[in-house]
Amino acid sequence: MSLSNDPREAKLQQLIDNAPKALTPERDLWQGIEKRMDKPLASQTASRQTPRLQGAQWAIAAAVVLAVFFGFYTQAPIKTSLPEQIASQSADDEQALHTLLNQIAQTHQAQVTSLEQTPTLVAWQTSRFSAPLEQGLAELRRAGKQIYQALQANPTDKQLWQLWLWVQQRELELLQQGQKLPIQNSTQGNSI
Amino acid sequence: MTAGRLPLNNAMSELDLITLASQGNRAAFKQLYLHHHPRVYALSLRLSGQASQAEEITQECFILVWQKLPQFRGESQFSTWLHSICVNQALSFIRKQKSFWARFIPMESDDEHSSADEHYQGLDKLILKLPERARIVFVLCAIEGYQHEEIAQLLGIAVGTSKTQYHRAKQLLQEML
Repeated sequence: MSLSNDPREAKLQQLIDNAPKALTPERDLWQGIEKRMDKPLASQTASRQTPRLQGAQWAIAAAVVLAVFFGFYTQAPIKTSLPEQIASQSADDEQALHTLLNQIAQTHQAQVTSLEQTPTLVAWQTSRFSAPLEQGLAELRRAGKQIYQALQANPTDKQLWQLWLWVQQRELELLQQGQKLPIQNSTQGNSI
Repeated sequence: MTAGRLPLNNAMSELDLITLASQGNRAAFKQLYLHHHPRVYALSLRLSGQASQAEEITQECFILVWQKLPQFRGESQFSTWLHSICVNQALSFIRKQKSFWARFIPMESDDEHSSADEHYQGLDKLILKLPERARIVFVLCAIEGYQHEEIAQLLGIAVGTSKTQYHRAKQLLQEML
């Protein structure tokens, strides 16, 4: 420890030395811990990992499909020099992309619905963090809708695809985070 | 519910409690929680700077400990093992909050800080006012006794940055005195 003539430095050192090693939280945290311990470990782990895993698997599948498509799309004009064939191929590809777009949108919606139907999610709306959570979700959904519309108009835009997938992934993550928020009321019945 | 009662012998050693808890005994785990949670909460509060986040980190930390307890081999002290889990949990929590929430809402919660002022005293009252990175480095270095090399590794920053943040924190705290 270096000696200093500065009285403020000495006072700060004194405060550090006297800082308590332990502090008591204002509320009882054990109940929240115990509630989560009630869930069987395997299913708890599975339920936490499944949505993320599904999301990851879905993102990987989408990325592979996109990679295959864009690889084919960029190489196709080199293989054939006939403009009619290119135009025809391009139209088919766009149609395939539209189909893919709709499929991914449906899959995502199903995941969102599944997350929203889990019992724990009902409660986060009573948390003091619910407002920013809902704000974040609304923001993401608005962005997702706009990107979806832009993709419908221009399904070959690779960056738009990446952005859209990213926004969907964030939405799922936000919903999962919402399930972990501390709640004030356990059920609606309490406030009736 | 077994956790609410204490069917255990009060003279039971921590090692016995750990052994029982790792076999799924909740009462034993609650004893471990009761003994260690103020330390975990203090660390979480000082690292996160917000009481609500500290509560969440503390809960997450003990859930993780409950899950990982069968892996605890007793090669280090339980408190050391718990401390390391808590630091990692807190830093991961703060990182997630920052990277995710910051995209949507301003993270600085002045209301929370001002209410925290009333509840905490001495150094803690001042620490909560520090900027996030400076606070984390200061807490780890000055209070928890970490070396700058360890902090740099934990936070993924340069050793020099850790030292700079530490001196910045000290300067800010001295100005607050």
